[in-house]
Amino acid sequence: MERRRHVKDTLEMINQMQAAGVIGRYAIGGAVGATFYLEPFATQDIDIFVSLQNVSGSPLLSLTPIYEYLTARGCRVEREYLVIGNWPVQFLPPCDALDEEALAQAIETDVDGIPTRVMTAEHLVAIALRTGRIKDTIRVKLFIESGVLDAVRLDDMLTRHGLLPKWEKLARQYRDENV
Amino acid sequence: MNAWMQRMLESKRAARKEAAALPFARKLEILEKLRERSLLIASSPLRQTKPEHPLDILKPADFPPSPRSEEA
Repeated sequence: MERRRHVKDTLEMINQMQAAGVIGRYAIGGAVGATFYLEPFATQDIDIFVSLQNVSGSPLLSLTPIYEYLTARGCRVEREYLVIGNWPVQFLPPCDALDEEALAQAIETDVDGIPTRVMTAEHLVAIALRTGRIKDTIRVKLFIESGVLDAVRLDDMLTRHGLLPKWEKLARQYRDENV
Repeated sequence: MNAWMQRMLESKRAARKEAAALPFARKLEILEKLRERSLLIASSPLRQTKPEHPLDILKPADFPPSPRSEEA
C-alpha cells in the first residue's frame, strides 16, 4: 500500500531542489501561505513563489529545470501543476516588484522541523488585492477581521505598489457589510 | 440582529480564532483533510454537470414558476 503523503513531503522535496541549486529562494503564498496566519480553509494547490536564474544570454526565465528535476524523481505534471507527494504545486516566478519584495521578505518557519518560508501577511494581502478574484477578496476580508495586519507596513506597501485604490474599495465594502 | 444570532456569530468568531492560533503544522494537517473532503465531494456525480457559464445556474427554466409570475 502506498504511504500516505503529506505537505511535509512536498516541502522536503522543494528544499532538496533548492539545496541542489535548481531554484533560488522560495516562499509559500496563496491559501497555504494565508493558513500560516488564519484558520485553515480548503484549497486544491500550493503556490510556491520562486526565484529562478535567467536562461543564459536571455531575459527569459525558464521553469524547465524544475520540471526536469521533479519528474526525474517521480513527480508528475498535471496541467499547470507539478504533483509533489499528493499536492499539486504551482511554481510562480516573480512577475513584478511586489512579488520580488514578497519573496525577499518572506519569513522563516518550519513544519515539524522542516524549514520553509512563508510570505508576510501584508504581502499576501497585497498580492490578493492585485489578483482580485472572488476568493482573493474573501481572503483579504479574513485578514482584516483577524487583526494580524500591521497597518503601517501595509499602508506603505500598498502605496508603493499602487494598490491603495483597490484597498479603499474593499475596505468600504467590508465596512458596509459589518455595520 | 437578534441576540441568538449575535451569540452564534460570536461563537463562530471565537472558534475561528482558536483554529488560527494552532501551530502551522497542525493547520496544514487540517488543510489536507479539508482538501480530501472537497475532492470527494467534487467527484460526486451530482457535481459532474457544469453550466457553460456560471450564471446559467439561474436559468428560469430550472425553477417552477413563482406564484407571482403565474398571477401575471
